[in-house]
Amino acid sequence: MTRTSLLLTFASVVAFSGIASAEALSRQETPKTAAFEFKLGGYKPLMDDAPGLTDPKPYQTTFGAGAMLLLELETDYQLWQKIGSLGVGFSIGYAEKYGAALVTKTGQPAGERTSLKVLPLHLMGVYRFDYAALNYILPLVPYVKAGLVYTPWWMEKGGHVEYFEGVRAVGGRWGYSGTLGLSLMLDFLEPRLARDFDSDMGVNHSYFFAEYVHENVNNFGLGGSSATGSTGLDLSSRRWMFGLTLEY
Amino acid sequence: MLRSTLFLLLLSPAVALAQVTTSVSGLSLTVPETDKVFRDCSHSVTVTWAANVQGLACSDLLLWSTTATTCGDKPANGDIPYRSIPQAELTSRRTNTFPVAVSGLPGFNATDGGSCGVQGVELQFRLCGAYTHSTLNCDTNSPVVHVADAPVLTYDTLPPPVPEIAQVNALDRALSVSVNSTGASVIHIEVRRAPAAEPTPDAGGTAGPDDGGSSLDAGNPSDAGALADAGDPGDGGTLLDAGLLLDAGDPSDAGQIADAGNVTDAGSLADAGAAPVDSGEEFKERVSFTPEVSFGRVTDLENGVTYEIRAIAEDGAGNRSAPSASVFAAPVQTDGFFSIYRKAGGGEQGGCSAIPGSTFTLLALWAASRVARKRTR
Repeated sequence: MTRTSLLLTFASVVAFSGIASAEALSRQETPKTAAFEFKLGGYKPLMDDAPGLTDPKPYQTTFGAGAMLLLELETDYQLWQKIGSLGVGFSIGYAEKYGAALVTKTGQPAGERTSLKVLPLHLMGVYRFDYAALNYILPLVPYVKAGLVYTPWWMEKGGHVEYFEGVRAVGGRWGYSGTLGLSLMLDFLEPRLARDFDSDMGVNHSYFFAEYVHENVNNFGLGGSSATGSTGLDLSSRRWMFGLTLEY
Repeated sequence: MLRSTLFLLLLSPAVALAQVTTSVSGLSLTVPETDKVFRDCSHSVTVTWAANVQGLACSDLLLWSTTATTCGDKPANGDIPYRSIPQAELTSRRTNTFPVAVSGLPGFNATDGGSCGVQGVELQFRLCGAYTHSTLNCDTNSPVVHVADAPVLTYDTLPPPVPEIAQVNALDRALSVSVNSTGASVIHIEVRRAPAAEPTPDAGGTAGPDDGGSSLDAGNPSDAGALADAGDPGDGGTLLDAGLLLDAGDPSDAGQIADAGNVTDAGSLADAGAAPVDSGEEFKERVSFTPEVSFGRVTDLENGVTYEIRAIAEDGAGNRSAPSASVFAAPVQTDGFFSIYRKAGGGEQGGCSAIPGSTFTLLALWAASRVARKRTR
């Protein structure tokens, strides 16, 4: 009896979402050309794993094991819409991490702070498979992204950009990234609100999403000049990002 | 019917209240905030009075200053009256200004035998005003309208209490100073190189058993005494470990105790931008900050050199306290993340890292070949 009730409940939820999707489909949508994303995630550069670094590892020593909180904004322009949509996207993010500077002679924590700040920029291709969400009852949209990354970075001590042996701690690193993500289309939760959002604001669909980012940002392993074999700052990361997408 | 009655019952007190509120006569005196506290006898304050007369004014509007804590209905003996506003002019809403000279306040007036200029005192004066009024007929029972919230003027030549340096953090070519103070509106930090006799902090010294990483409270002699090295002149030059925190208590202990470990956000501190302090000269004021900021950052110092630091509090009237007990500290060289990274073998050289031309060329050639291959199929 209980199992029957559960099945009936599940069936009615599916049916409701199907009706909702059908209702959403039946309306006259405004043209859909782009998407905007707001996302957050933990960004921990893999710099300590780069070749040529001796123990103790610098990031771990200064900032501990914690990741940086990365905030990113992304905008995509859809070039092709048939079975899913294909487009190009650009994103800009920001993250910072603070820790105590160390007294040079003793290695003890000093009374001033030091920081690492990054501003990751991505230029990428984006494919979203939204055919099922738009035509059937499944409100899930898988997607992939791939492209180039350029990450400006700078390091500060006591509120000012740091120097070491005349070298200013400001720069940028190139790399590439790939992303796999899954979006949950929110329209089925409130079809009428979604319809009003489209007709009033031009937002066709809204999504919650989670995505896994695999990026190597180390100038493709080239450059750098160190007797230890280090090729420079490695800002690569493997991370999860979560956020909200508005398609308009 | 019942609903209408209830509605009227609820409405009537509100209407009555509104009527009372709008029919009350009033009187206010206003002084700019910046003029309320002063130490200059030539100071003059412009006072704005505003009277809202409902019905009839039954007397002139009297204006006066007093040293009493309350105003009363009219000037008392010793109070200083200012020009009164004739009853005939008190119709409806009236407002105007009148000057109050500091040298003419009660006790400072030549006629009452006093004179302005006394030092080391804080005297308060109230500005008062009153008139009588009636809604119908004036008589002896007509109520008096007083100033609501009489403004207080303060003649202040009393210096604020001597501040106390709570903590000094040694930074790279800088020191951050936190100060405890009461009644101050600005804290000034003065710095000079320590005289040669003062112990020199040794940034490379070994932490003593009491240097465990917490800051010491300023002014707590027990803290100073608890440190094994404190007060031992033979240890001069090696007493301080890392020069991070200094006890700011007893002047005799200044510069002898250190404690490592406290981390301060130096980036949020007020920056001192003056020229470097020279050896052996007088104290120079290097930075000023409000107590809300709580820290001042003295920059452009030399690492490893001991500096003598003291604080001076200034109140809203411009009175300065005596200098605090001196504290001695030496900036220390520190490594930020970039230095730590480079010392760990990192090869980063900074700069914009233009993609090596060969990489882009290879990528372009590869992409071109893929496109060409696709077209030939």
